[in-house]
Amino acid sequence: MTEEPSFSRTIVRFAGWIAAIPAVALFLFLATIPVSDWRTQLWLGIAVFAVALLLKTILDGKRWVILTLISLSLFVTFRYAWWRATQTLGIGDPQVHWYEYPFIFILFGAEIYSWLILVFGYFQTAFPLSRKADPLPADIGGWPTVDIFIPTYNEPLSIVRATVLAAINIDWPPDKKRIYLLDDGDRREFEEFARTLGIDYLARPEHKHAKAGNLNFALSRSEGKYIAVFDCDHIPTRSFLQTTVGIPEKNPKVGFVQTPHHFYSPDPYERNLDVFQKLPNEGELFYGIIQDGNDLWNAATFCGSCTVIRREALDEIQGFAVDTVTEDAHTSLKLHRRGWESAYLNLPQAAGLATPTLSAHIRQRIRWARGMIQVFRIENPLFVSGLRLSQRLCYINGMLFFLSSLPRIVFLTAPLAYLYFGIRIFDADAYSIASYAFPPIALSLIANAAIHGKHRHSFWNQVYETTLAPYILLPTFLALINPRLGTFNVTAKEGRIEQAFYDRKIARPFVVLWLLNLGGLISGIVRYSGGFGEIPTILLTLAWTLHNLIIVGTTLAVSWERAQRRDRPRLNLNLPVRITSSSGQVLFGETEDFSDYGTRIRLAKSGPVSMRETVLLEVPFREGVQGFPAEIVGMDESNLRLNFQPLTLEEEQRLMLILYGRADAWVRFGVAQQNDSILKSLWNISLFALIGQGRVLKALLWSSPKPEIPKTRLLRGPS
Amino acid sequence: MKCPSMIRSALFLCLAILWLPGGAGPARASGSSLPAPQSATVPPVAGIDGQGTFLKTFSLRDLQVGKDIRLAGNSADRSFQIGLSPDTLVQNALIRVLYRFHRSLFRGIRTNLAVDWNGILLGTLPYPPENGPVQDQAVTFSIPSFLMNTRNTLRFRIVKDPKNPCANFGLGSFVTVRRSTSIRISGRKIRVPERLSDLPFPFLYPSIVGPRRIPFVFGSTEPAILEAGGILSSGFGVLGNYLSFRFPVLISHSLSATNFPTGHLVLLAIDKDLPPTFAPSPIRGPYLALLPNPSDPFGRILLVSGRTPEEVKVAASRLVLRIPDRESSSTTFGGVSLPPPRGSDDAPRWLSVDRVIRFGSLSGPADLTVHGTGTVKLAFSLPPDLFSWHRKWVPVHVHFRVRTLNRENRSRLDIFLNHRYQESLPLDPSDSGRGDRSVDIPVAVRDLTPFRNQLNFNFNFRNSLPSIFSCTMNKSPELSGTLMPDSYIDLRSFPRFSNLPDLRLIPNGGYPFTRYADLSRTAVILSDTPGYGDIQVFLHMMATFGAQTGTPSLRVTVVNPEEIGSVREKDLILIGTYDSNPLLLGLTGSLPWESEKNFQRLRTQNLLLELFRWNNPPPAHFGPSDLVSYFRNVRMPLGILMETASPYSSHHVALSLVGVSQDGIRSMDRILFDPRQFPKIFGDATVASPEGLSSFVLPGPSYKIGHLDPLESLRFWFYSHPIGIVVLVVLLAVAGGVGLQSLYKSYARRTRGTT
Repeated sequence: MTEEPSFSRTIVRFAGWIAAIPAVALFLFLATIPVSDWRTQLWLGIAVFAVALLLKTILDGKRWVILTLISLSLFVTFRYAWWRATQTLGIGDPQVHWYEYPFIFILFGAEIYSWLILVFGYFQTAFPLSRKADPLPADIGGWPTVDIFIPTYNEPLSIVRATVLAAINIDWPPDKKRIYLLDDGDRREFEEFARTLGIDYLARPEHKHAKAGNLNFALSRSEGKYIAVFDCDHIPTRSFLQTTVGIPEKNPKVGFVQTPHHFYSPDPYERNLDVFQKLPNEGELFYGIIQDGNDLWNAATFCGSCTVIRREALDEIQGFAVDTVTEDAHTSLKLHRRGWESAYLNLPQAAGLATPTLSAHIRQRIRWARGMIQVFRIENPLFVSGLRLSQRLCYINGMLFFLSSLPRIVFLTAPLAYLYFGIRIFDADAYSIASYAFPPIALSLIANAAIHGKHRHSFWNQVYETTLAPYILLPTFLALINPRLGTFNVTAKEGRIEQAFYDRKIARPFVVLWLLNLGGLISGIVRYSGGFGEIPTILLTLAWTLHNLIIVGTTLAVSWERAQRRDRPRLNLNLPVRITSSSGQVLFGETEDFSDYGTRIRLAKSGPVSMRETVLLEVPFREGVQGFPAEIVGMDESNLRLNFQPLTLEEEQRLMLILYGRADAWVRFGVAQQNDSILKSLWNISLFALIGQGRVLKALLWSSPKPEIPKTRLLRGPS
Repeated sequence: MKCPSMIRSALFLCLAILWLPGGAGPARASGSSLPAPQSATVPPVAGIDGQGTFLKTFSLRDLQVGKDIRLAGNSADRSFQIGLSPDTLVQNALIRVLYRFHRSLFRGIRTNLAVDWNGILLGTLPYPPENGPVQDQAVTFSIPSFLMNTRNTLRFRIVKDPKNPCANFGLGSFVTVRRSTSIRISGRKIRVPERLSDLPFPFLYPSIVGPRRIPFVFGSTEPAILEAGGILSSGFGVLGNYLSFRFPVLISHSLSATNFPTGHLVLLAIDKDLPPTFAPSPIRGPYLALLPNPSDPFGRILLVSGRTPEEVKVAASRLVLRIPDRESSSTTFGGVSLPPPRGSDDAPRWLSVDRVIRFGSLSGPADLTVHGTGTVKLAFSLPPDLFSWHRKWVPVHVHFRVRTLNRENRSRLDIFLNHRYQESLPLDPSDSGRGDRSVDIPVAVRDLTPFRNQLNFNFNFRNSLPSIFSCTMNKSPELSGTLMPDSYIDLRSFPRFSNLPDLRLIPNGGYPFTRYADLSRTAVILSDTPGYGDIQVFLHMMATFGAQTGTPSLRVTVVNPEEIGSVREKDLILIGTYDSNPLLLGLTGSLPWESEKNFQRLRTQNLLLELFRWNNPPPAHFGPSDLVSYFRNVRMPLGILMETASPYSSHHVALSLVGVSQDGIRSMDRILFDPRQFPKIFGDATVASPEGLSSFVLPGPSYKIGHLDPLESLRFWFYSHPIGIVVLVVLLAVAGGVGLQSLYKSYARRTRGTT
C-alpha cells in the first residue's frame, strides 16, 4: 500500500527530469538566437519584462510565480551573457586598440562574477524551507542536558550581565541546564558576578585561537548533550531552548540548530539614515531568506551565536574550528562534511546589539570577509569531500559574496574609462548594449523584489556592497594569497556617540569614488555638448555614472554618524503598569518605551506626583506583579519618565525577563513595515544620495572636530 | 468578382498617368539616341561627321572614379588606364585638370604635382598666388598625338621639393584633383576591315573609356529574334566582363539601306526583312555577316540573320559560342550544337565554396607579386546565395613571402576587403632579407558583398627613419612581396540558402535567374509589341547576367503575356508599362497605392507588426507605409522594380520591371545597372526616380531556397519570428515555475520529514 504512491512518485519525478532536460536545452537555445537589430532585442526584453511585471503585480507572493520570475530572469541574463561573450569582447576586431582589451576583459570578468552570484543566489533563495519548531517530549524528565556558553573578551559587564541573567531565565529544568561564562579577559568582576549568580566561570590559562579557543576550552570542561552558544550581547528569550532543542532531539542526524541574529538597536545604516524599523536592516536578508533557503539544501550555516549544537557532532570534528577567523562558518562546513545535518529555525529567540558605528560595522565585515576567504582557501567547499553539490553551491555563494569588492569597484568606475579617456569597455554600439543589458537588470530587480519581499529593498545590496568594497578588497586579496595571515578582532557592540559627526576617515574612499564619478559626469556633459564621441555611448555611460553617484552618495550619507546617547536602546513595549507614589497615591498607565534603566509611561489619568520622587513601578509578571523602585525624571500632563533605582539581582533578572525574555519578544520586531517597491526604493536611495552629497560637502567645507568615541577596536592575536 | 481588381487596375493606371513626366504622351526621343544623362557634368560626348573625323570628351568620372582624388602622404601617386578604340586615329588631345592646392603649414616649399601621360611629363600644376584665396584652378595640357595609343596611362604624382622632401606629409591632403578633370580627343576614324574573325572588334574593345554603346536594330520583335538579341548581348556581357554597356534599340519593320543609324551596329532580322544588298538571296540557313554601314562609311553592321526567326537565334547562339575563324565577311551555318544545359549554381564565374578558395585559382603567379610598395588585388565572385546570417568572420589563410632590406623595418602588409581595412601584419626584416610567413586572419563578414568582392593586399615597405624623414614608401624593386598560391579563403562552413524574393540578389549575381546560368529556367515576358525601352532593358539585363555568370543566356525564353501558360514553371521577368504588359498589374498588385486610407491602414499594420513581431518588421524607413509616403513626395518616378513570389508556381519568383513610359524604362536602364546604385537595391520593391533608387520591404509570400541543417533552420525561424521566442520562453518559464515548485515542495517535505 505504501510502496505504490512512492513508485508512482518516482515515475513522475523521472518523467519530470526527462522533460526538464530538453526544456532547459530549449531555454538555452532560445537565449542564443540572434536578432535582426537592437530594436528587436529591446522589444524582446520589454515583452519578457512586461510578462514578468504582470505576473508580479497580479500574483505576487505565490511561489510558482517567484520561480517563473527567476526563470525569466535567468533567460534574459543568459541571453545577455551569451551575446556579451560572443559579440562584444572585440576579439579579432581590428577597430579595437590593444590597450582597450584590459578594460574590456576586466569589466567582463566583473560581469561573470555578477552572473554567478545571481544564479547561485537564485539557487539559494528560490525556496526558503520555513521550518517549524519540533515539540519536546511531554515528559520533562526525558529532556536532555544543555550547557549554555557565553564567551566574552573585552565587553563591559553592563553588556554581559543582561545576557547572563536572561540565560538564567531560560525555561529549562535547572538540573539539566548549566551556564558557563567564558571570560577570556580574566576579569575579576566577571568572576565575582558569576559567583554571585551561581553560574560557572571559566577563564583559560592561555588565550589561543580567540573565541573558538575559548569555546573549545569550555567544551572540554563541560558535559551537556547540547551546547547553546550566545555572544555576550545576545539576550535569549526564555523559550529559546524549548523551541530549538526539539529539532535535534527528533532527528539525531541534526548537528546544530541556528536561529536568527536579531538586533534591537539600529545598525549604522538604520541609525545614520534614520530608517530604523522602516526599512529592513542589513542582516535581514541573510536571516530572513538566505539561511532559510540554505536550510532546504541542508546547508544552513552556524553563525557563532544563538545556536544549539550537539556535543557529539562537535567532538567528531575536534571542537570548534580554529583555523580561521570565522570559526562559525568553518565549523558548520566541517560538520556538514561529516554528514551532520543542520537546521535553521527562522524564529527570533534572542536579540543583540547591532554594531554601533559604520567603522565598527566595516571592521566586523572585514573579519567575516577574511574568514570566509580563509575557509575558501583552506577547505574549499567546491573540492572537499563529503558535501552534496547543493551544499557546495550554497557555501561557495556565501564565500563569493565576500569577493564582491573588486567587481563592485569595477562597476563603480568602468564608465569613467570612456568618459575620461574615450577608452571603449565594450565592443558594441550603445543601442545594442542598452537593449541587451537592461532586460537582465530589470528582470533581476523584479525577481529579487519578489524573492526578498520585505527582507531587502531593491538597490540596497549595492549600497551595502559599496560600503564594504574598498575595505575588504585588500584583506580578501591577502587571505586569498595567504589564508594564515591576520588576527581576530572583536566586534564592538556598544558605544555612545555624544555628538553627530562625519567620519571622514571611513568616508575617504567613498569621497574618492564620488569625486571620480562626479568628474565623469562633468566630463560626460562636456563630451555631450562638445560632440566628443558618439552621443548614444555618452548618454549610456552618463546614465551608468549617475547610477553610481546615487549608490556612492547613499554610502556617503551613511558615513555621517548620528548621535547615540544611550547605552541600550529603548524598546517600544506596551505594558500596563501601576505606579505607587511614596505618598501611597496610585496611578495607572501604559509603558510607551522600556529599557533596562528606565521607562516612559502614558498615564491613564494624571495624578499628584513630583519630579525626583521615588515611586514603585509594578508590571504584570508571571501570575502576579513585579515591582521596581524608580525615580521620576521627567513628567508632563499625561506622561511620566522614570529611571530605575539600583535593583537587586533578582529584580534585575526579572526585569530582563520582562524586557527581553518573552517568547514573542522579537517575533515581529525587526520586520520592516514597508513592502519593497523598486521605483520607491530607487527614489529613496536617490534622496539619501542627495543627502549624502550634502553631508560630505558640509563635512569637507565646514570641518568639525571629531568627537571622542569609545575605543572599540581591540585586536587579539592568534596566539 | 473582378470588381476590386478592376478598381485597383484603374487606380494603378491613374498612378501611372500621374507619374508620366510632362503628362501622358508618346515617347519623346527616338530609339537610336539617348537623352543626355543628368548627373555627369562632363559627359562623354562623341561626334562624328561625314569626313570621318571625331571628337570625344570624357572625364575621370567616366573612368569610374567615385570621388575627387585627394593626394596626400601615402596616396601621393595615382594612375589611370585609359583605352582608346583602335578604329580611331587621335590627332589632337587636351587634358584639362581641375584641382585645388591646400594650405600648407610649410610655406614656401616647392613640392608639386606632376601629370604624366604614358610616362612622359606633360607638366606640373601651377601654384595659386601666394596669400590668394584657396579655390579651384584649372590648367590645360596638350598631349602630343604620338603619345596616344590604344592603351594609355595617366598618372598624377608628387614631385617633392628636394630641400624639404617631407614637408606637407602627414598633414592631411596636399592637393585635390577633381573628378571632373576631362580629356578631349579628336582625330580621324579609320575604316576597319570586315573580318568576322576580328569580332567582337569593332563592337567591343575592352579597354576603351566610358560605356560601350552597341546599337541593336531589330527587323521584327518576334520572340525568337528577341531571344537572339538577348543571347548576343549576353555574349557581349561575357566578353566585356562588367563593362558598362548601352544597347540603344531601333525597331524597323521596313529596313532600307538609308535609314540606319551611323556607327557600328548589330542587325537582327530574317532575310525577307533585309534590304536587298545585305545578304545573298536566297540564304541557305543561319547567316552571319559583317557589312559596311550604308549611312556611315566608317561604321560596320553585324548582321545576324536566317530564313526564320529560329535560324536567327541559331546564328546568334553560334556566334556567342565560337567566334568564326574565317577571315571572310560572311558565313552560313548548318546549325548549332548547344552545350548541355547547365546544372544549378554552376556558373563558371561563381567560385565553388565546397572547398577552400585558393589564391592561385584567382590570379596568375605574376599578379600575386609586387616589387616595391604595391598592392596585390584579388577579385572573386561568390555564389549570391551564400548564407552569412549572423556570422562575423571569414577565415583567410595568408601565406606570403617578402624580400626586405634590414632598414625597411617599419614595413607592413595591410589587408583590405572591398576597400575596407581588415588587418595589418608587420613585415619583419630578417638577416637573410627573406621572410616566409603563414597567418590566419579573420575578415569581417559585414564587409563581404553577396557577389563580387575584392581583397587587396598592400605591401608597404617603410624604413626605420621617423616618418618626418621618410615620407614615401620604398618602391625599390629589391623589395618584393608575394602571396603564395596556397593562401586561401575558407567559406566552407557557409550554407547555401536564401529567402526569396530578395531584390538585393539581382544586382549581386542575378539570383535566382542565374541559378541556371544559361537561363534555362527563366522566361522574359515582353508585350506583343515591345517598346524600344523594354528591349533595351532586356538586352542590358542579359548582358549583365552574362557578365555575372560568364555564360551567355543561350536558353532564355521570351514570350508574350498571352503565352504565360507555357512558362509557368520558370522564374519570370516581366518588363513593360502597365499599358503594354497587362500581367504587370496583377504581379505588382500588392504594391500599396497612394491614398490617405491606405497610408493609415499600412501604418496600423506596421505598428501591429512592430508591437507583436510575428515577423521581423522591415528596417526603419523601408516599410510599406514608407513606400506610400515616398510616393507622395517623389516628384517624378520613372518606374519600379519589384520581385514577388511567382503566382503561377511555387518556388519561383516574378521580377517585374514597370516603367511609367518607354522613356521611364530607358532612364531606369541607366540607373539600375550602375554599380554605384547596387547597394540601394534590396527588399521587395525598388522605386527609380531621377534622384536615384529607393527600396522598400513589403509583406508578401516568400519561400526558401537552399539547405540549412535543422538546428540552423530552427534558429533562423525564431530569428525571423521574434514573438516565437517570447511565447516559448514564457511558456517554458511558467512550466518551469510550476514544475520547480512541486519539485521543491517534495524536497522540502523530505527535508522537514526527516527532522
